[in-house]
Amino acid sequence: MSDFSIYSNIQKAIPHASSTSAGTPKPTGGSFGNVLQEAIQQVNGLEINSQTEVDKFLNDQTDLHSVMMALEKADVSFQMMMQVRNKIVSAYQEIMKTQV
Amino acid sequence: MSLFTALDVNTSGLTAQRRRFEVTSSNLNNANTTRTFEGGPYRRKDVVFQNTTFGNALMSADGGSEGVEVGAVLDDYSTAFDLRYEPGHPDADPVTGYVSYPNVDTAEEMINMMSAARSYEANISAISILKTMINRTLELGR
Repeated sequence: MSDFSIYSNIQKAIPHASSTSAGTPKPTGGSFGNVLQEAIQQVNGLEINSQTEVDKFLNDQTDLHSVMMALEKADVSFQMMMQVRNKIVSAYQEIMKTQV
Repeated sequence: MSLFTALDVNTSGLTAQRRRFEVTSSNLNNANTTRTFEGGPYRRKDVVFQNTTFGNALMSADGGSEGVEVGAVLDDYSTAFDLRYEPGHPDADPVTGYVSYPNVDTAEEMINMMSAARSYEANISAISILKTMINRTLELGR
C-alpha cells in the first residue's frame, strides 16, 4: 500500500503500447486496458483505505495525522489518475481527428 | 523509494512526536501527584525513540528509508523525589512529616513540550514541501 506502484505500472504500459502500434503485439502480459484497470484499482484501494482510516479515527483508533496522510495519498493518486485519463482522452481525440 | 514512502516516514515522525507530547503532558499534569496505583508519588517518564525501516529494505538501492517510533517509555530514576516538610498532608510520612513530591521539573517539561511541538511542525513542513513537489510534478502533464 505504501508503494506508489502506479508509476511502475504506467511505465510498463507505455513501451507495451508503442510496441503494439509498431505491429509486433506481445502475446504474454496484460493489455494496455488491463494495466490501466489495475492502476485504477490501486487508486480505488487508496480511496477505500482513506475511508477506513476516517472510520477508525471516528472510533478513536487512529491519529488525526494518519487520517490526513491517507486522504492525501488518495487525493494525489486520484489526481495522477486524472492526468493519465486526460492524456488518453486527448490522444484518442487526436486520432479521431485524422483525415481518412 | 517512492514519494509515498517519504509521506510514511514523515507520518512516523508525527506519531512519535505526538507520543512524546503526551508523555510530557502527563509529566506536567502529575507534577504534584503524591498517590499512584503503584504506590508512592508519580515518577516522571521519558520517551526513547528508535528507528524503523519502511518498505522492502533489500529492494531499495539506498537500504530502505528509516522512520522513527517510540521504542519505550521509561521511568526516570536519575533524580530523587522532592521532599517537602508538610506534616498536615495526608500522604506525609507519619514519623518525619515529609511528603515525597514527584521528580518533575515543570520548566524542563515545558521545554520538552516546546521541543516536541517544534519537531512536529518540522514534520508538517516537510510534508507540505513534499505535497508541493508532488503537485508540481503532476503539473508536468498539463
